[in-house]
Amino acid sequence: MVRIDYKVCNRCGGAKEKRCERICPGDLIGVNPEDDRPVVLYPQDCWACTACVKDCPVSAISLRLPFQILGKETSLKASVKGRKTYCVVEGEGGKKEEFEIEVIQNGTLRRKD
Amino acid sequence: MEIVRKDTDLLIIGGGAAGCYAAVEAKTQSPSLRCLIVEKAHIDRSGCLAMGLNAINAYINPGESPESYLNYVKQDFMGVVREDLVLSIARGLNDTVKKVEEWGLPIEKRPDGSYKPRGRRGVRVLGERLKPILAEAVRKHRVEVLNRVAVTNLIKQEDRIVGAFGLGIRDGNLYVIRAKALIVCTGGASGLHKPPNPGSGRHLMWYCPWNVGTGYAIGLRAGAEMTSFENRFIALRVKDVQAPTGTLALGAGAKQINARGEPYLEKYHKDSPVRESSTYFRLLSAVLENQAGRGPCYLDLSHIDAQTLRQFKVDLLNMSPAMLLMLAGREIGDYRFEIAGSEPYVVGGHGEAGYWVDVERRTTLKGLYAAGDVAGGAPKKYVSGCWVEGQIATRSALQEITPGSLPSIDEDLIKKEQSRTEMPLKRRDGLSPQEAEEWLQKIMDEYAGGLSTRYELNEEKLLMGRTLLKDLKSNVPYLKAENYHELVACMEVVDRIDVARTVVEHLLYRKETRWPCSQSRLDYPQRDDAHWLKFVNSVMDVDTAEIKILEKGLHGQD
Repeated sequence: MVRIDYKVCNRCGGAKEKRCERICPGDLIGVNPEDDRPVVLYPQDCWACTACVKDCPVSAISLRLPFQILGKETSLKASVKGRKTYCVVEGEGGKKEEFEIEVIQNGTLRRKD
Repeated sequence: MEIVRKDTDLLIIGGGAAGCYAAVEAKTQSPSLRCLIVEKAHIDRSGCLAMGLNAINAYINPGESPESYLNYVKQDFMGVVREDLVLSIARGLNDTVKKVEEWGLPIEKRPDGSYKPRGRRGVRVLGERLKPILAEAVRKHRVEVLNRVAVTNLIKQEDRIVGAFGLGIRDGNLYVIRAKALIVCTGGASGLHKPPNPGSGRHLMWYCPWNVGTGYAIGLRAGAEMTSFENRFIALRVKDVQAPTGTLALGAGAKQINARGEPYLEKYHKDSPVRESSTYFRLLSAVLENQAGRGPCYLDLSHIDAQTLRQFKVDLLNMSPAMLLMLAGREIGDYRFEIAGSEPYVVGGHGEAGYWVDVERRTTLKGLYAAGDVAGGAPKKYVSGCWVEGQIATRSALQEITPGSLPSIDEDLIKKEQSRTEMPLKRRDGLSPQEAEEWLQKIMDEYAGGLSTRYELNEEKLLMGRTLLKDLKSNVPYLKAENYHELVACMEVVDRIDVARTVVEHLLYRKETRWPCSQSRLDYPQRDDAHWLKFVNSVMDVDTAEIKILEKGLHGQD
């Protein structure tokens, strides 16, 4: 399951199709026409793949697991910059662990809009 | 619903591992060729590879050969594999891996520059962005991509497949795509059986939940021959988060232990009916240990040091991010992870269910080729084998594409598909796709060897399953959708029903137990090499939808 932090989400600068809506492999995210916010329309269908988490340009989305699976609050945020993927995993009590991995060699991916 | 018409030379259905590789191969061989990928999601993060990958499990490391790879696959699947297909994959593995490395995939190296092996037949990769890398190669080679269009049927005229119909998920339009040749690369099927967790956990599954068997279903409805649907794949994984056990065992040196902390694999080895198959042996031993009251079983990482732990976490970030949440805040020493078998899937990449193809990856339908998880007879191909199959299928398909014009499509066929696909939107009352899916999964769980019955099967239950599926299928006209997302979900459940019916017929037909858990017949508990060292194949009648079973010899003969 993912959570969108609306204090951080910038509605992709008003773009018609939001990045998270565009990338979700399950087509689970839509946009509320009233306030232009992206909304997870089918949260129970999330695969926890983190495609939207990584593709969000302002890192407004985090992954959590349903309570029936883990029984506690945790979250994962990730972002993609050039050849690297950055990730922060937060456990109970706010304990954080950070990762920085190089996942592209020779050249970078264009960022497409 | 508007009709959108498109023409291309080579149509690739599904832009995953096989589809992307096939498309790049096509434009490399023939830059002026028109090549179109139709993709249900967005090609940057669709299908099995959406999460990423931390190892390529099919690679010919130094000291191994294509022949030794074939021997391993044959042994692991109890002798019933298509040797010609497996060998053709093995011979192409290293070249395709090299190619994807050139496209940008980081592969871990030893000081001498050779790939660092993971196990005998694997290499370690940092594949968090493998799917975007493949998608970028597709774009660089100027392949046309149609995202968010879900293929609903093949177009068959006279004896030949001449195109495909697709439903636009965003615009609700019906796409009518004509092509000179087609390669189906949609992947296999999840969601046939009930998943391990309900509600908010229902999609925490091993296989991509949006790989629903559409590639099989469109072939079945056009009369293609399929093979080995009784060879269901069950993944032994970290329970609930479905993290790969290979990452723990091969990557971090974890041992399988039972609830008492005892390693249990060794004691089963001498008498196990599947001791020659590491895949089935590990799965069956865990199931038996649970049945004997010594479960749960675990992978034990309690002796891990800080450096290996960090490496292990990086591996998870590359492939299984949800498991990082399971590790969050845990201290070293508290590292045992419960393992369990998944619900069954139908796939041709880990298992061997799929289209019956020749060594050129031609299906039994003219103009249609198959590659990747949707192609049968060659298990353990994994991602690199899917690339090889994409390459082979493209090379064969290109030979068939000649200048000439495309045939015109019968307008009645278009009207028929339009009315079939838009019907759920017109119903005010009826069966929601969610309800139909739950109905299907209940039937398959209870009568076709799901998790709740510990995968066990017998004839009477399977016959009951057959009857109930027929009843479910007769309710397809009552499916209703509120929007385009649900409309596609309706089409997906229709596809799953056709695949599930085929699975049940295959399970009924093979009267032995060759692959325990995948196909555990309580009424025929022994493996019977005298009678069953052969393939079970099937064809669905295009008019009556009845499924006819055919037997094929190990070398493909009738």
